[in-house]
Amino acid sequence: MVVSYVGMMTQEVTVKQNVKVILESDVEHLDEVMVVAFGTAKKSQFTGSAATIKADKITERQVSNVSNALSGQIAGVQTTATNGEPGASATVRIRGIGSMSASNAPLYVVDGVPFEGNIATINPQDIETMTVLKDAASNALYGARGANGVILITTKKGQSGAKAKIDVDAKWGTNRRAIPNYDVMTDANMYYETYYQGINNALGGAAPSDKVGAYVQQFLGYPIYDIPEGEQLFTEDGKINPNATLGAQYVGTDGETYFLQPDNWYNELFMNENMRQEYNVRISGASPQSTYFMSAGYLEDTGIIPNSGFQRFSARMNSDYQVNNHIKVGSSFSYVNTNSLSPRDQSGSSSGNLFYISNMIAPIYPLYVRNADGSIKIDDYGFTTYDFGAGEYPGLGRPFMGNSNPASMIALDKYQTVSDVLSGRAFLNWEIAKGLKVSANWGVDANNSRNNNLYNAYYGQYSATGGIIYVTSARTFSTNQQYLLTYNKEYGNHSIDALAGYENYQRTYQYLSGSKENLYNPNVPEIDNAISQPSASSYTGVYNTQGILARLQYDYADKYFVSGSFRRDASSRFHPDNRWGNFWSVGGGWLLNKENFLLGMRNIDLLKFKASYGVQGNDNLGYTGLHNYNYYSDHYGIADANGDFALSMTYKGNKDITWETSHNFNTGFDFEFFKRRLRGTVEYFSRKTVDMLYERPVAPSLGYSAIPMNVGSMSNSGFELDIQGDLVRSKNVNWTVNFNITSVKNVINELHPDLEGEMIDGSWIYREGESSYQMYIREYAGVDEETGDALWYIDVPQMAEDGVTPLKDANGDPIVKKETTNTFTNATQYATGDILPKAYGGFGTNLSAYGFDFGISFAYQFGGRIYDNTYAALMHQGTSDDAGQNWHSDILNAWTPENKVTEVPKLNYNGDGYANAVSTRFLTSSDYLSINNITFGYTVPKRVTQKIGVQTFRVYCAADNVAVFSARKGLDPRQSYSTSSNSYYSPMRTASVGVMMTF
Amino acid sequence: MKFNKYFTMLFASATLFAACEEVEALQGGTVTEEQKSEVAQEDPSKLSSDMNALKDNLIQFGTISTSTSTNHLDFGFPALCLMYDQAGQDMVSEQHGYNWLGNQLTFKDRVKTSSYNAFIWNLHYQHIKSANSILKALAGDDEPTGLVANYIGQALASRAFDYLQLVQSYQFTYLGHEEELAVPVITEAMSEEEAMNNPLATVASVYAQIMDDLDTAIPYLEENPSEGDKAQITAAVAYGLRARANMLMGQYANAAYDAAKALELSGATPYSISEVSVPSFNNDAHSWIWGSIITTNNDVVQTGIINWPSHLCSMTGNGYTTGVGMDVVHKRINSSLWARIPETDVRKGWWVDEDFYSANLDNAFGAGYSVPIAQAATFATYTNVKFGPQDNILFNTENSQDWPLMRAEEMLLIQAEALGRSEGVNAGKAALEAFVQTYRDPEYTCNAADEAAFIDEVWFQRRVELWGEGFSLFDVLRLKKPIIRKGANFSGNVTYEDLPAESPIFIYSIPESERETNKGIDVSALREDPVAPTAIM
Repeated sequence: MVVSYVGMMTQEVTVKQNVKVILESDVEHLDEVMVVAFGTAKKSQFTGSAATIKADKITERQVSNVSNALSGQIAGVQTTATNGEPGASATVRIRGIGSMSASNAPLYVVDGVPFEGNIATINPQDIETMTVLKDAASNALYGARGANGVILITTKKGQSGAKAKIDVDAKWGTNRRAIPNYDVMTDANMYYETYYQGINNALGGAAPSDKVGAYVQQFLGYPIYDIPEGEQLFTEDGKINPNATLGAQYVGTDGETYFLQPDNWYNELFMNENMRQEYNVRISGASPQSTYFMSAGYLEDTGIIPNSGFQRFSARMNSDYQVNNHIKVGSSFSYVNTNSLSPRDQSGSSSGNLFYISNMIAPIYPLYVRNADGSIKIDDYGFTTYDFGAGEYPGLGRPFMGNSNPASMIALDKYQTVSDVLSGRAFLNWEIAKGLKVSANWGVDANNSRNNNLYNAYYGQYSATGGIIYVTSARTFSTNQQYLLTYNKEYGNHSIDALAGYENYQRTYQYLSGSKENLYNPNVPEIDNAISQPSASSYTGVYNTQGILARLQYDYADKYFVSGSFRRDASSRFHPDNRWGNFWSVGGGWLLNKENFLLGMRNIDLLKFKASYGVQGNDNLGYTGLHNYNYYSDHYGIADANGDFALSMTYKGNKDITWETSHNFNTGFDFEFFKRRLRGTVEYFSRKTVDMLYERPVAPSLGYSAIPMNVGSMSNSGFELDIQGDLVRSKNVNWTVNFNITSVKNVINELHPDLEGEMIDGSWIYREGESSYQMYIREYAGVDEETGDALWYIDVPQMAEDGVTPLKDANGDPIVKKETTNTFTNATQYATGDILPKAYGGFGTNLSAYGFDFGISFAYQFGGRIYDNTYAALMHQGTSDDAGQNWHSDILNAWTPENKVTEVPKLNYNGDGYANAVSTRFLTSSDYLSINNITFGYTVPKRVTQKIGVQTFRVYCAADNVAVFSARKGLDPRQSYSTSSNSYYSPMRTASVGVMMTF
Repeated sequence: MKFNKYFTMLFASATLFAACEEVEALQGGTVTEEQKSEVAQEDPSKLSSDMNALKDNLIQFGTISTSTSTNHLDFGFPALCLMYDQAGQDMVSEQHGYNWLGNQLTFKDRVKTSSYNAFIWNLHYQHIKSANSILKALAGDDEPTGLVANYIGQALASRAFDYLQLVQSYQFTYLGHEEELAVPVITEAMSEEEAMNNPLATVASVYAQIMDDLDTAIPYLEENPSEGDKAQITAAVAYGLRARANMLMGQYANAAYDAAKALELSGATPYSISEVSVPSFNNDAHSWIWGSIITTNNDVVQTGIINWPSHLCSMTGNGYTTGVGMDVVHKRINSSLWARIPETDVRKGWWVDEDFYSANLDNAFGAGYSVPIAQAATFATYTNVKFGPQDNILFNTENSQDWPLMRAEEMLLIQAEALGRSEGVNAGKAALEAFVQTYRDPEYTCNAADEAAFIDEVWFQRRVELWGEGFSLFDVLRLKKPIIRKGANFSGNVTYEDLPAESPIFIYSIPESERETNKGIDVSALREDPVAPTAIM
């Protein structure tokens, strides 16, 4: 008997009782179809570099924003995220950093249409595949915007011929902070004693303890110790008097008595309950002429601090209809409503930043105002009274982040953004003759969002003005049109496929914002609720591109493939004379496994060699506001000069500015071995950006600081390896592993000739022949054992015997000797070398056995360095600027006459403040290993569920963003390529349970 | 052929879309050069907008702040005045807590890497750029008249003001340092390329440029006056600026002449005794020859607390001074300087005494109000009440007070010192006494025995009269005086051994951003950053 099944190799078996047939997958004939630019392609014929993540890998991650699901999944794709708020996007970089100051963001294309909205408005559950196009052959057709790679998102559709089915999916979970705090002091005595040391050192090291103690108390404020009558806070050796107790009554300048005690801000602020819940229903099916897909989803993702969260309601309808034998039409509509609560100031060292303050505040300050009996004071409105450090305890002020209390502000302020996102796609395919097809695609995206931003009237900076309310409305509307003509023909072994088309994209962004002070109802976040200081602002920016495009593909005997593509594109950001650019690619593929010399090799199922070369553009300099709509003109800002107009230059334009062009070479092998048990891709790429867009700093004496120009070039080249293996493949047990690694080397090839091979921009240096991620900072030389001063290296020019003539080497460069100095500003700045990681990637495994499934995925990077800003801030010297700011416990190893051999300089209140300034001392390894996801599930056997009409029933639990291991507790190297700091909304760990059912 | 028909149809629709008229890409508060020219063609009155940049640059927010980091001293020229005064001996505040002027109190802003140093540099060079753009646009007419001449005059005088401020910030005073390197001079004739290869000019050549600009500007402005508010540069302002420059260059007779002309042309008269027996200096007044007019709509007001009253006015309802709940930001007078002010001098009340009393507060808000106000606003002793709240409303939350740039009083004091130096002490004394007796202290007599004592007496009058207005550091440099903080109400952590006259720390190093980009600067010839003094504690 012959057994066959689509996609499986036909087998002949001898007929006997109870035959067990295991069909083997037929790779020769089952050729995966993948989504590519302006169409689809068979995977075996594709000459470019692209990788796809499928629905299961996307939905496995408990992410609210699909960009976060890319982490560790695809070779060549690196994600970073500074903001861990619910719904926040990750920063995605494909094959390195292609530009120094222009945008490095890839282009998202949703169902064929460029998408520039918030990626969080796409429900990950609606996504069928996400394909990352990495090389020129795959994305040159996106012309001006393809240089940083393209991410194609394809939403789910009904499958023609498939039975109607309903999927129901529900999950519930909780979020917790994923990155712990740095190892900071939590003990008030320890902080006081350390601060004492700094003042004592400033006074010469042997000052009487009452004098030092008086200074300590003056500078730190808040007398939190109860000291017995007649005794001092400190003993002569600088320790807290054992008779002094923490917590003291305090009589304010208002005559009232209060109680002062320090609070653990971190514990008080981060223990709130929260929940993440998500529900999705999908219905899909088909009739002979049509297919349909409908979905509805609801997500509520609550943050780890109060009043923070992300809510999304989404609905989608995708359908198509075969009108007759020649014409097919289809459309897709989606509506998404998001509601995002996102407390202000949660990034940067702002006084409103809960993460920053709770990390950085010394463990000696109260969070609350307390009555004389120690109970927390409740105000007349019934609110908990928080201490802002600005006289809530009359007469006391907190030196660190005075006049602020993020807990109170987050509780009473409001910051909410609601968005309505409507997205429509329509297409018409008309087969005019056999092989000749005209298609038209239209896309419309509208995003209307409204933001209410209320500063409360009760407490904090704006209580004086009776609160402030800002309301902002932003509208983005974009249209996209494509008209494509395709032709394909086969003559014997020859096959050609041609495409010609036109595309036009237009986007309008409209902004309107207003504000007033002094609120009537302190809780209503609307402008008409307030009466003073009205202010309003609005603007509109219009951006458009258009281009003509063509592609030709040819293959011979399904063995040799060549392709070429071309696009002529224009962007409105450039001067009309410099607006049009040509972009193209050529590529070739060779299926070696079809050659006679390999036909006999049974273990080789697929072996393809491929190579491509081409150029793409990047038109986005990434300026803010209206500056991003025109790069070529000088811009002026309108101001009010006592009732008349005043126009001052705000941006220096450059008429000659044009595309940044990326030359992209890619070559490698796709392979499938051992009956497809081992699959993968190995590739070499080289991406050279020329005419780099960059803001060249100019002498500030010109009256402006930079001019944008096309200058120089940069390369990113490296290897990628992506392999997947099936370790066990049987009826009841399947075990797969996957691994990918990418190594990229970034090199600046050429800078503006004026720069003579080198440009310095603050703490960064850009040098020809070296990485663009190179810091230019002072080099820490440790501690002077005798004085305890921090030392840095300095190049001292060597003089001839006369003492005045500098010695020069053969190149005419001065001969210098590397010595040390204790004056930071005099120390020499040195280039640090490349700080980017040598390699990054991910790995994971999935095991399913007897209905149970288990999956775990990791991401990693190694070989790089990162500047640890927070650690630097926590290693301050105890100067007057630092009073009340916490210390890392490493400070306990500071230099003292008894502890001379140390890397930590002495504490000194009178220090110049540079002891912890930017130097190599805080450049730390950026190696990390993160556990992105662990999932464990069980699918109830079909024979059980079918009895109640359910096809599939799976329950699972999952932990997402589980842990990250890095060089220092608290350090998250996934934040960026250059610096890390804890002044951002920390990433969250999500633990969930879920149910999936298919009817 | 069928194919052709469809093809034509397809591309016809495409060209149709392509032919759509291009929509203006920028519509709003940002204007392109091209849009600006179009507007000017349609409505020539809008040309004055470029002139008004000369006013706006001095009070703008955003000189050094970026979208990611906001500096709360970034409120224009008044911030520079505060910075100069704070780094001296006359203005006291605390170097702990929320005082944005801590770097000035401790002289940590003198180094090349300081963002405050870059602030001074960028503010003035942006202002120079605005003047140069006007001069470039109006160049070509050798004998301009009317409004064109007036505009050229304004731009030249404005530029002279900037160079005079810069040359005093980045090098010691003119006399004795004529050949030292100061700052680069940028003129309208200079190309971008030349500006990037622009060596530091000597002090003498910067002054030559200043005098050249003022000498050209004065007749243009005098013969072609134009209407405008006090923020506009007039012939009187140009004379006043030249009076300042002549004082610095030791041209005392010329200085006296210029100061007199400034007074004569402006008609400005000093604040009367009754006018300054209440908190004042918050609104354009008859004593102002030149001043920045700040209104509700200005960015610095809209920011709420990034404006001068927030850091200097002790009676604002929305500012650092009164908002931080402790007495660290309030700007106080040096107690020994205050002690030297006679009881009969109205200026005694510009600061509260050791019992938090000031007659000025009582005069303005009612008898017995001094102490409660001082308590409510967390005053320290000697806190200033010189600068009043907006509209004189106690704890007004709007900080839109104007800022004086040149007052009649300053001109009278220049005149007095210049006469004393050029025509003898008695001539000077007479002028000084006439001013002080009429406007500040009816009982005043000047007892200076010799020229040196007389110069010191004028200096004392300047320190008191112009306190907080940004003159004290340049006086210290011009008169080659030490900075003495000991024996006064400075806290231990900002009290230093006396800093001798012309200490390197008094002046600023050329900012790093300029050194790195201006290839004309010989970096090896620049000084090493001076080390900030160490507190005695």
